[in-house]
Amino acid sequence: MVAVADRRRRLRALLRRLPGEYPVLGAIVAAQVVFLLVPTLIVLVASFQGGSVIRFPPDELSVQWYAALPGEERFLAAFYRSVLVATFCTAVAIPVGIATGLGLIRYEIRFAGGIQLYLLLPFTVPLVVSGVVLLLIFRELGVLGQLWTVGLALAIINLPFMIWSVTSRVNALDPELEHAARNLGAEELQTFLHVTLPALMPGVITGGLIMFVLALNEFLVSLLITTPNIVTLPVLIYTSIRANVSPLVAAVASVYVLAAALAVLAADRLVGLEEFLRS
Amino acid sequence: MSRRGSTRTPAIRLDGVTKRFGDVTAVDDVSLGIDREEFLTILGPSGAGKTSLLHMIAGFTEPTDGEIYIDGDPVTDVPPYEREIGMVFQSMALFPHMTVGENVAFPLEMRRYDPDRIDERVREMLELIQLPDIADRDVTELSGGQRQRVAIARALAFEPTLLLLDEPLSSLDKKLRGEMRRELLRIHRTAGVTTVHVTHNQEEALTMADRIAVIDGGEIAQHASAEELYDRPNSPFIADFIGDTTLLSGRVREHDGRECTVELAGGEPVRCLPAEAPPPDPGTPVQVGLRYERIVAGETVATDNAFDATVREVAFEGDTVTYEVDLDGGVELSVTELNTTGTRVFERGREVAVGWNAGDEFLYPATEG
Amino acid sequence: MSRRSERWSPLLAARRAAVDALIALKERLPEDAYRNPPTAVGYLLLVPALVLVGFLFVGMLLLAWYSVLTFDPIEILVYELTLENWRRLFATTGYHVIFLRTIVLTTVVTVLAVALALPYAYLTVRVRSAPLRKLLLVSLFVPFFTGVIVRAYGWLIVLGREGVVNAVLGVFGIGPVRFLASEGAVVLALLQIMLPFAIVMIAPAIQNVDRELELAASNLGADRLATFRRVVIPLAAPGIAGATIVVFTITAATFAIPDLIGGGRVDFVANLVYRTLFDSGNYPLAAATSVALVAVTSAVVVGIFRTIGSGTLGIRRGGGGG
Repeated sequence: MVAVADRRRRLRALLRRLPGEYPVLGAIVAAQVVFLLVPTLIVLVASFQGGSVIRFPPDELSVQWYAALPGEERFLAAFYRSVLVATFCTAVAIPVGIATGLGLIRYEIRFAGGIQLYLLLPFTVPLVVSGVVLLLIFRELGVLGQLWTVGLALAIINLPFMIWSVTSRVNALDPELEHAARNLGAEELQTFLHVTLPALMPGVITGGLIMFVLALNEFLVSLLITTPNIVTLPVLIYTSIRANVSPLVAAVASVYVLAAALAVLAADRLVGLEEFLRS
Repeated sequence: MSRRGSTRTPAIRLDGVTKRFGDVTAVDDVSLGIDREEFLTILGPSGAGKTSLLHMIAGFTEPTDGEIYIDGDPVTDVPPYEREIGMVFQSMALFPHMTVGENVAFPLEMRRYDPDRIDERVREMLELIQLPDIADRDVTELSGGQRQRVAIARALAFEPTLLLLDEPLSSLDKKLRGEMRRELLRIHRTAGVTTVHVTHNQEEALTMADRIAVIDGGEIAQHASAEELYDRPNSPFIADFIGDTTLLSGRVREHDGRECTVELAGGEPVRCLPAEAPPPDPGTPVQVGLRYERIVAGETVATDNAFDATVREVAFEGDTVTYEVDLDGGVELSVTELNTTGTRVFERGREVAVGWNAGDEFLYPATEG
Repeated sequence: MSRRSERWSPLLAARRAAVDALIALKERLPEDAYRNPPTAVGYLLLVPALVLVGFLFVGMLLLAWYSVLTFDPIEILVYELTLENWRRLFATTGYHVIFLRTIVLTTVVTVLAVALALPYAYLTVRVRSAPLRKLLLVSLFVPFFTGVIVRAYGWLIVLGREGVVNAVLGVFGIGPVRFLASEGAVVLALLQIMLPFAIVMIAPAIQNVDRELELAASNLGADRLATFRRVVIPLAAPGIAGATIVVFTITAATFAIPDLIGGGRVDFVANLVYRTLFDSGNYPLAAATSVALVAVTSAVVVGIFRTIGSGTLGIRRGGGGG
């Protein structure tokens, strides 16, 4: 027993001498960083493949696949549709999110608990089922194959993200601020425009950004409800991968990785990435 | 400086302890010894380095320089959970997901005590804090004073060699603070544990501590008993920080080896009797510190120093009255008088006489700036 | 007046006019409607969200209805009630295997994702160095924002016959090893997809754990592991519950990874639904399978709700933020 305790103490003493604040934890997390980044960034490397087959190490490096991108009408059209869909989805989600956040927290709503549970439905219903459900509805309504349905569908399935971001801000909003605004002569509408809305802005930006990026990337529901003439980029990449693993697809996919990096940069500039650590 | 039981090793000794965060020196070369069963208060304004010092003693941060000894053994390499130091945090830091009993049992659990011994010890501790029946209570249901007591019980449960109190009373209201102050002292005496208490509240320090270490800018400014600190502050900072003191600038005019005369900025001559003889040489710039309550005000005064003055402001405080007066030469003074039977309260604009005896003042060589 | 002339612009004038017009409009309303808004306004604000989510709610009913309709290879749907779809679902061993595999692999992925997310989230929240925190956040969000398909593609490149891993192994004269089309590869790829979700859910909960509680535990004799186990994890339980629910429901419904990485050998329920829907056009059977998947995942979610509570998924009123 004494020997064991002694050995444990010596081990701990050794661990403490390792560099850094959290040596063991740091090593585990460093491995996770590699695990998260390698499959993501490898696409960038593959896109500079000189030959027509992706292989490691690459035969030679070239930008020929990027040079070919502007001529790829199908990919360009799909990319354009994806951006449209993401914009539509975000434009729907923002006002809905703000209204819901204010309604749930500022008013005495009966069955608020039940409504919250109901609003979580997009998270609790498996995505594939949401896709099937929306496919059936849009088919019944006869609107299947119209691009706006994809935007609407994505707004529905990711809505909880938006509501979340806004409610956390509404919750943190000090009611005294609004009282102060009114006391200083702002009537209700101006109070809302000049005090309430700006205070909610970080939540709205965070939520909007998440909605936009998720919509730009959404695959499964889009796969189910898009018809061939309205395929979005993720769906097109999927079908292309199934066909062959051409470096052209890697170049297209790299655009996504760059867009993600840009979005992260934008998020950091607009609200700070640390904002995502808040509840 | 004589120390009680100086032949024994102090319970804890800091030797040249320094803590730097980047360019900022939070604690600067602090050396300090604390005797067994002593109640030491570290007193200082916020940002003076109190918390850094406490965190280094507890082991949460390592000193950049210097060494800390507990019972004569260096502990810099010892992690906090092996230091056997109890601590009461500013926020109490009671675990919200545990009951009162579980909180008090936590350190015993970590030390792998026998379950029966844990139960017994928890009972003892709750009796010590005079709340024997709350073991199964959720900590979130407790009042401020109860939380305070439970935090103390938890910190003492494992019979630590040292108890650290980090601004323990700051989250309580004024009335409760007085009660908890007595309670803390009672527990300190009952448990007989060496205690280091950190506060920015001078009243708390004066009433509780055996000795007080005043810390300023990361350095110990004075380490002495409460009476000594109040009666013989060793710097204008201490004189100003503890008690109410007016500091006046002046210059020594002459001295006879014991008593000296200082000429204030307004030209008034003031007779001083510095504790440390001989007084500074003539011509030396000095600061004269005057406690509000050592100055008397009246129609006439019979003191070594006496001046005519005009009352500029009157603050009636119930048990006392504080006047701000202007001496005829332009020097401003504050005077606090006890409000006893028959005391006459002077109104604003009144001509009065104020004065004090030589030796009632503190005399310091003037500091730069 | 000079100040005004400096800052006076047509834009400002227009904006003021617009707001004034809105105010005038608002003042036509009965005064109580905006001064003391009745609760009805609150309900009104909720309507858009209720309608949007209503698509799913109504759709679920529609799905249940479809699941008892008759399938006909030529007419596709016959509006005749039958339990045939359900019978087939319960009687076919092949379906059982897929459901079982979905549940088992999803559980494995969920447990691993949450277990790995805890140290990641903890370090991200507690690390003192700001650049290091930024690095951890970027490594988390770049994959998160990149999407499933691109990352699945990345895994194909990493694990493929001529991929990165085989290239490395080749240096040592090993291989090529076939990694793809195995359960291990699917779990690995899913883990990478789900880890950011788990971290994003858990980090705020850890942020809410008062740092002083950890110092207290350490001071009371708990080493780092004990502090993590006895203080951090119990207090972050709401976030852990939320992460578990989100990771489980998303993973259980996953399609792309089993399809691309699993190569048809590691199918999940979603792949089954897709095939039933588009290969054989059997809408009723696909509906029944979907309803069954909802039932299974709901059972798990309810189970988690019961044991650890609704966690961070609940929207709390007032207090220090939801």
